[in-house]
Amino acid sequence: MDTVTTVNLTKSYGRQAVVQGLDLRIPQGCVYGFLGPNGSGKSTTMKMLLSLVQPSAGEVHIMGEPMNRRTRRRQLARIGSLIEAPPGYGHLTGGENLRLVQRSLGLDEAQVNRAVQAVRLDKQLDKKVANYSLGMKQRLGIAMALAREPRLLILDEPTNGLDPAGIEEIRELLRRLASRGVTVMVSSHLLGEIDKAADHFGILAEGRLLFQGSREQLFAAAVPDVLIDTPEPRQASAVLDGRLTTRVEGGSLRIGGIDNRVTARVVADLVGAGAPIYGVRREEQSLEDVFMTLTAGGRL
Amino acid sequence: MSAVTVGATGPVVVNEFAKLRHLRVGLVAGLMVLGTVALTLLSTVTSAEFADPATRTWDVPLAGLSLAVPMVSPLLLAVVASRMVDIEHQGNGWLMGSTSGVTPGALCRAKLLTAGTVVVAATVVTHLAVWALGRLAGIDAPVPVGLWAGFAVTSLAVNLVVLALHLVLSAKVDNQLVALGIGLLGTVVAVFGSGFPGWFAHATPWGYYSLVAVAGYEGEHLVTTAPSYLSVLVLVGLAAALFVLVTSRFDRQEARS
Amino acid sequence: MTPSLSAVLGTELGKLKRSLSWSIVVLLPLVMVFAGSFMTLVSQQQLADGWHTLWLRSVVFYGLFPLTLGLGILASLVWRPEHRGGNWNALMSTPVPTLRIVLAKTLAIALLGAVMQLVLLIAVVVTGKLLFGLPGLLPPRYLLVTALLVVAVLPVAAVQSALSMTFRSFAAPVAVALVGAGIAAVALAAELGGVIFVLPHALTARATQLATGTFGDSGQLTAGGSLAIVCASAVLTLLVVALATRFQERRDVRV
Repeated sequence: MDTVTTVNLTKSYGRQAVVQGLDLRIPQGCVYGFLGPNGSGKSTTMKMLLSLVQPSAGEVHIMGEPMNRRTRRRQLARIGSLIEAPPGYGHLTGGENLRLVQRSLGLDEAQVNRAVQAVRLDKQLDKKVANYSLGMKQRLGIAMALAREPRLLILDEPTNGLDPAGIEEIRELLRRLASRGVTVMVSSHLLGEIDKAADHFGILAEGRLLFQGSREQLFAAAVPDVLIDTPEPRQASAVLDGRLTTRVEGGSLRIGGIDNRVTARVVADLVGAGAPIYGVRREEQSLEDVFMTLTAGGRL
Repeated sequence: MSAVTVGATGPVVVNEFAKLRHLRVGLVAGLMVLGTVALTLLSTVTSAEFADPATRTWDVPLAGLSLAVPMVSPLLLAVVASRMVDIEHQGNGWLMGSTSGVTPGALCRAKLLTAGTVVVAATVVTHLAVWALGRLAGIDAPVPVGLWAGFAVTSLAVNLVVLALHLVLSAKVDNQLVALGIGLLGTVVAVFGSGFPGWFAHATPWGYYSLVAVAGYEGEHLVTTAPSYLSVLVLVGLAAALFVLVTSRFDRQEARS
Repeated sequence: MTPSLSAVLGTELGKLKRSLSWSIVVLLPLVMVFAGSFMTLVSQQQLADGWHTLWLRSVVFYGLFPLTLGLGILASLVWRPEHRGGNWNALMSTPVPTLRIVLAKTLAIALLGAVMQLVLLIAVVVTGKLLFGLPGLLPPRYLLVTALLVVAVLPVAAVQSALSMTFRSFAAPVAVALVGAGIAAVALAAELGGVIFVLPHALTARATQLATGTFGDSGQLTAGGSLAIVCASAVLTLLVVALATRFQERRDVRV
């Protein structure tokens, strides 16, 4: 079952649409990487999921129930979140902040302790939050979100201000939570920060969903270039001239956007025309490349 | 000092005026004018000295002003200062300024210049309004120009000193409760100042409101006095020196987050 | 696991740690009583009517302006941390219902206001006994007035809380409090008694003038007058809290 589903989720201010017609599907127990450049509408979308902002059109369903101003306080009991800047009262210590959360939500000591240990903040609890580094504030914010033991966790750029070791810790934490059945939605404008943790992706650009699906589907969505190794790349290029766009790169010929069937015919044609060929391969492709293709290079 | 730093004062002040947009400082200044004029008017028309149209003098509205200015000014000056400084606390403006070469001290000085301009304008409007309303109310006696001008200038000076104090206070202490709480206590001192002995009036900036009052009631009788020019002069000199000292100390402090 | 109101109120009071709220709560009434007594001592007068005069000097001006402004400052203080960083998002993302948040904030402010009245009462008794050597104790009707004041700070607490919830600025709601107090003082001086049912600031100010014979007060503490204060407090507070909750419930967070 999907933990989060939205139908035609839209937010506009005046004539300007910030988020347009989003149909999100976030399966239960996955880590959903919500990617997109700054200003693409990620935060606004997350705020609509939490009913912090009311959609101009469309609906949000969380765990099968509608999420709106009438239902939100009930729904929010099982949702932990961290949106934009991390929360925390600067004039109080980290421990005092957590006790406020504990008291107002009626949590027990063990729940708070588990949250603190999960983000490794145990040794910093007696310090005033005003003196925390951004990374420590982020951890405190995540601990506050985790303390209520949510079934859905919504984190907006949680790795902001963290060093590489801290980022790795958060990734590990997200995977651990997901393995226990918690659904995690995590946004970032940097793919590298969450690609190893996430198994589902949603890619947003200018308020529209460019892609949504599993990691495998994401790779399939962007076909990598075919590289043909030949000592005579110019001759080979001339054979295909007019039919395909090709580029000569040293001892090989690069052809973009062709599937396996076309690749087979290209090879047959080249061999038929007497071009010497000693290798045909698809380029190694990282998730980063796919992301760039989808956002900047391709359809934007 | 390089030419760049000296030349940069202009843009900093212009920026301060730009920041006034949406801060409703004009509205607060308007409240100050309105409150002062309304209180003056109220105390004037309810005064026994004002009952007989034939013997109406300017002393009555001047007594009203002498009461209304200390009543209204201290807290609203604290509000103006807090509004202007708090945006830097909230928006991390101290750090942003420092990294672009505008030191916190320079920022405070620019704010004094900006807010000071607003306060000067408000003072001029207040006194002109009282004069105009007095004429409308049928005060035909000649205007005591010297006395009135003396009061206008000295009370403005006290207002500017209080404003400078509040700018420093709001900048220094992030918790704005401190600044506004002191503004509130200042109002009490300003209002009760005339009932206290002279040394007490000299002890705090707010006490000087009672030293610049030019008219007041002693029992049933309305009496006029010249403002204590010397005291105000000393206050202004002292305050200016302290303001420069404190704001230049801000400059040497490490950037705050 | 819907949290109780007392838990939320406890949380609110917890947030006031290290916030200097005590300085307003304790200093303001002390300074007011001190100012009244100091003037009396300096002018070498006697308290013409004993305890009554001392009460008058301590409470009349205090009730017109400083009390209202003090409540305004406390309201801004209580809401200030919520307007910082990610706290607003966090506050609106908890299962605590909006009504309970608004109510808890109002009660926290009113509680501080109630303590202010107690400090004032104690300060009056102490200065009366130690400084002026007044015979006996403060007449019991002033205890009753103090009890009424504890209730009558609620409407101003509610309206200032609503303003400080709506505006990020610390100082702007305090300026509004000054305007409210000014209008209240003028209306009461003009003996427009009905204003207490309309303007919260006037209601609180009116309650402080009970039994003083100033600003439209008869000088007597009557059952009818007291009842009017209590009823108006209840009605205005509930109305303001309801409106603030409704407004907050419909409002979006900043994007």
